[in-house]
Amino acid sequence: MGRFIRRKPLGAASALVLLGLMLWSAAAPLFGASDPLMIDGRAALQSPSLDHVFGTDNLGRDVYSRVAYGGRVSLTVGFGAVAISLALATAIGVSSAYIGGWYDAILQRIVDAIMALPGLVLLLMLVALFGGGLWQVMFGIGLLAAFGASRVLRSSALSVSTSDYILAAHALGARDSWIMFRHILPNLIGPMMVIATLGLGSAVLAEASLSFLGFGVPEPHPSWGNMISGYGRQYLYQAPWMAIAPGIALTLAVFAFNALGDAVRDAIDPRMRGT
Amino acid sequence: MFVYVLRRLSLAVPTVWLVATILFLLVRMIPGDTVDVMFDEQSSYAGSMDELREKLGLNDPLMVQYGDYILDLARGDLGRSLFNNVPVRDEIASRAPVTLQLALMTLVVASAIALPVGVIAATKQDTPLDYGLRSISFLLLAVPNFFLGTMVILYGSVLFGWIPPVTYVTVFQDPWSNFVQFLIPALIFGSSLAASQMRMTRTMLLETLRSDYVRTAMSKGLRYRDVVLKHALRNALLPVITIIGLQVAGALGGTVIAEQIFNLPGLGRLTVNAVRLRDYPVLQGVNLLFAVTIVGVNLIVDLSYAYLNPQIRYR
Repeated sequence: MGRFIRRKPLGAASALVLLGLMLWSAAAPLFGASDPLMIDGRAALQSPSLDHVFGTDNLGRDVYSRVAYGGRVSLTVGFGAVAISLALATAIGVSSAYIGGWYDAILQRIVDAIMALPGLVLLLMLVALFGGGLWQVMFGIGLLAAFGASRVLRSSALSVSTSDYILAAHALGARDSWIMFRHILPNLIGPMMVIATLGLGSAVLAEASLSFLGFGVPEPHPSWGNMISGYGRQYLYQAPWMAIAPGIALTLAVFAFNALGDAVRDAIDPRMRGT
Repeated sequence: MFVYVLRRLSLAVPTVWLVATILFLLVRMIPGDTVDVMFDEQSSYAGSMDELREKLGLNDPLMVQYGDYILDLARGDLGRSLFNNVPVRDEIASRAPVTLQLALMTLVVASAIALPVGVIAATKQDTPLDYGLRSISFLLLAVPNFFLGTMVILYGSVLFGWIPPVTYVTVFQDPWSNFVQFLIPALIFGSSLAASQMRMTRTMLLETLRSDYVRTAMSKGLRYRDVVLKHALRNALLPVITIIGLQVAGALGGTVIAEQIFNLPGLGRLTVNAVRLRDYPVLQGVNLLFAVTIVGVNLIVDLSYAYLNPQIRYR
């Protein structure tokens, strides 16, 4: 840990920024955020001031509070989607590599077919299928990310399962589930961490893109994506802060996730440094 | 080589069939159907919902619908829109040029920027120029392109008086305004693609520059420029092309948002609408076109390896 901070100052700083963002949106009222849904017609479209540091929107809602609460949506979806995708990808990847044969062939062809579709379009259909709430969006993004990630984990699991000690475990009469969980899985921690940290940025972006297209968490609940689209775009010229504030928050979060992901990958897999 | 292409093409058929089947099931699993949407929007409609479903074939058993769909598909018939009865093929034919031009320009613009910049960053490794270019690329990776697009519209109008044209101009009407109309979204939506291409180019070029054959070429006294551009870059490009191939799907998906921001009448807007209207044939048709494009690009990417590295032979 100490070595990570010394070797990767940008990665460590990003982790700090992310912790700060999480704390800020989780404990938003402690940081001066008021009710993000409170409408105040007299205070509509005010430019940033001491009362409203990021100004107010067309309904007089405080943009600072909405950005703080919107962070909950973005970050929850980000972490949740990555957890879901990691679990599914491990299940698909490890079982596909270990069982092999027809099971592997059929599963991989399905993954092929799904990877032949543009992610965002597929995501639109998945969200239409599950519905547009926070959990549904999270599940849709996680499911979609799982297919690409399962490829990586499958190839790692394949190389592990041909090693001698797996053969030895077989010879000792170990059950398949035991081998998968106790012998193969621990060897995948490295790629799993890389997938997770690099996936966080794209998951947060995916949620924002969906919200932008009107398929994400619906108004009046704030999310960084729907604040930039919807009213944010409608009042772009009169009140640009309505779109700029959540946009900067989003960029900052994705930047930090990417930088952290890069640092983690460099630490685990030095061959890929700088890509 | 020819046999390899034939074999790959024959392998693509089951993939496309699988995509078609997954799409068929996926769109029908979405709750509600076209008839529900029609009645929601127009409750004064006189006929009965069931009659309409019967007419559109939505009441047929799933297997019958699937059989019709696959048989039509085999004949190259994508069916008709459930909503306005326009043949899906016509709908796609009128909109595909917009989306394909946008996606293509996005990728071309991205590579045109990324490759030279990547080479410069690699040859000037660890100079302020290198750090600067890498920081910019890192920032571009993080800015969501719809936010960047929104900001360009805001500041474009405030600073330059530029607003995205409301009407779409085809190449045949006015090539120059068509070009400009696509260039700005292509730049914005290509920025993040360019960033990852540039980073990959830099890393791979740095690695090849350290290899023995490059050192040999240098010690032969060849010009540095020639060694980098003719000897090293060619090998370094293989992984970059892999990335570009993977980005095709992203560029096609990105058009959904780009068309929304820049008022372009392409397949992306058609898709978003078709999801709302539960227009199964349109969704199936558009996505199938995307899938065929992506599968085709993957084949081209694989073939280009052999061109760049003659050691790779396909049988």
